[in-house]
Amino acid sequence: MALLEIREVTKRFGGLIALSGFKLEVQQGEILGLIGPNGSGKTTTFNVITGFLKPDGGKVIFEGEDITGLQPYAIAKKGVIRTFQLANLFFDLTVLDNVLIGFHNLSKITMLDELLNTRSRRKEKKELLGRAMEILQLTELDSHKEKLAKNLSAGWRKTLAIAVALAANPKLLLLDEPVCTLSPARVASIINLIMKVRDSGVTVMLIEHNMRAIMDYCDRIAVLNFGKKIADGSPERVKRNREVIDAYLGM
Amino acid sequence: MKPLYRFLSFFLLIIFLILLPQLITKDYYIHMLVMAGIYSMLAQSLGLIIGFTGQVSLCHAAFYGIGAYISALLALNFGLPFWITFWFGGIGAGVVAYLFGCLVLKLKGHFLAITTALFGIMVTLILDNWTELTKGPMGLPGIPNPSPIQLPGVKLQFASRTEYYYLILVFVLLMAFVIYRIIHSQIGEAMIAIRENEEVAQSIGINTMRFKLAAFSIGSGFAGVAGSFYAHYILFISPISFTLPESINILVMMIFGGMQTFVGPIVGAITLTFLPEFLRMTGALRLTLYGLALMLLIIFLPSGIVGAIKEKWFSQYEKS
Repeated sequence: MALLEIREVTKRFGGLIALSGFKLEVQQGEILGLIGPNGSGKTTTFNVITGFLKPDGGKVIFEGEDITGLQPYAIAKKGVIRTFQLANLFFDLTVLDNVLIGFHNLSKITMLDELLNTRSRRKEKKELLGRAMEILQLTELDSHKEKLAKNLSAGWRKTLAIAVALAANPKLLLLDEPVCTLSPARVASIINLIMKVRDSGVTVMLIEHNMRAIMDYCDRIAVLNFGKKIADGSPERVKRNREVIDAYLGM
Repeated sequence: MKPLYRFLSFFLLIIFLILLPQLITKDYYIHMLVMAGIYSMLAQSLGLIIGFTGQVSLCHAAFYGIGAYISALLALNFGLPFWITFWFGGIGAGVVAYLFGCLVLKLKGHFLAITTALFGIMVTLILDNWTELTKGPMGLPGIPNPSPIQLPGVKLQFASRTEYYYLILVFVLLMAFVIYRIIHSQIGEAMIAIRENEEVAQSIGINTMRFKLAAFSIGSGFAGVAGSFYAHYILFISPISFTLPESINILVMMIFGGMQTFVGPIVGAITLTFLPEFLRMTGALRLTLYGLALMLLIIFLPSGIVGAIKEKWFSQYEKS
């Protein structure tokens, strides 16, 4: 069974059809790239999966369960975690605090524990701090941990967005343009991070414009054009697909 | 060393606050202190809603009034003592806030601000016009003092202002403790996340509506308790005390002190309760100067007094 199944999803914005009968399956443990020209419906797909938009038709099935139309927080709780194209963060907080807030749903302590500052509360705080440090090390953000998120460069912001998403304990991680507009060194390091995340058992689905990054590292690629899927397969096959070349690659 | 230092300064502050009435000879200044206590409750509870959760509420005085009226009506009609009525005042205001919040907390920014301001006006209109219950603009006179309580060693009669001072001190400290615990908990973390970026908060699984409602109901509930205290202290209430300008007054106190800090709103409330008094020496220009002082402070210290001190400390810390 596929981890995530998008069944015939349609989404309209007034007269504009952003997605029409879009079908896609995401398998456990793969890195799936979703590409397509501007306005082809990539981000809309993410918004529909994560509940930020309600589809006009079709279903989203995660781990065999219909999650269509649930609130974004409820979908996140099930393990579908996304990042945003513009690397949205808690800008006025430190890098460390950003990651700590990401743990929100992992906490087992109650309001009473919080009010009385019980031992289990302090123990959990300590544990979470340790895990936050692990994530910061994995993402190479540890030397920036006291900085405010707004003072980070674009590349580190995107890295931090991934770190926050990792803290939220994803089963499926949706990355919206994780390496777009970044310097080659940062791109390499983020791709390396994505591979590590996948190896730790998290399924990754990503949107990207940076074709080279996509081609080399994705297990599978789906191509969208005007809200329709026009190709789906291994990078080599997609690269040779006539329709894809016409619509997107233009080479 | 640091926790010890903190504990010591907190301890000294409490001692100072307990001895304070002994240092003051004028009854009027004790009254000002009690009012500063009431405003501390209002400003800090509003700080939880606006400063920490980022939900602009311009109807805080309405919940203050709801608490005051519930309390006064229970005391006048059913003879209940303050020790019972303040619970009803607080919980009543909290429940109204919860129901109203379910309707309006989906709104953001300006829209929320305008809607809450209109709610505040609506509450004043109801208090003004439901004359069978509230006696309208005539107000409710003859609210009883809190009934005497026997504590080990002392009996509090609530005949002098000093006794009220100690009571409001306990109220402020208890509320401050609860709010401190909230903002340093997972709940506070979620609230700050909502203030900083609601979309990201949702994307990592924070039920934003739930925490917005919690902040709004808890904050408004404390305003209701402050209202109960006010009713049983002044012994007379009328709608004029709970109007939109009063909401804005509380808002200014909170911003002035530093709304994103824990102690800021209290500092703002105390300063702005006393500042107009000190400006009395300027005579007719008093309120003009007061307004000017507020404008200048908000322009030059947008994060408030405590916020500015913190920022300064933080930037030094970052450089080193």
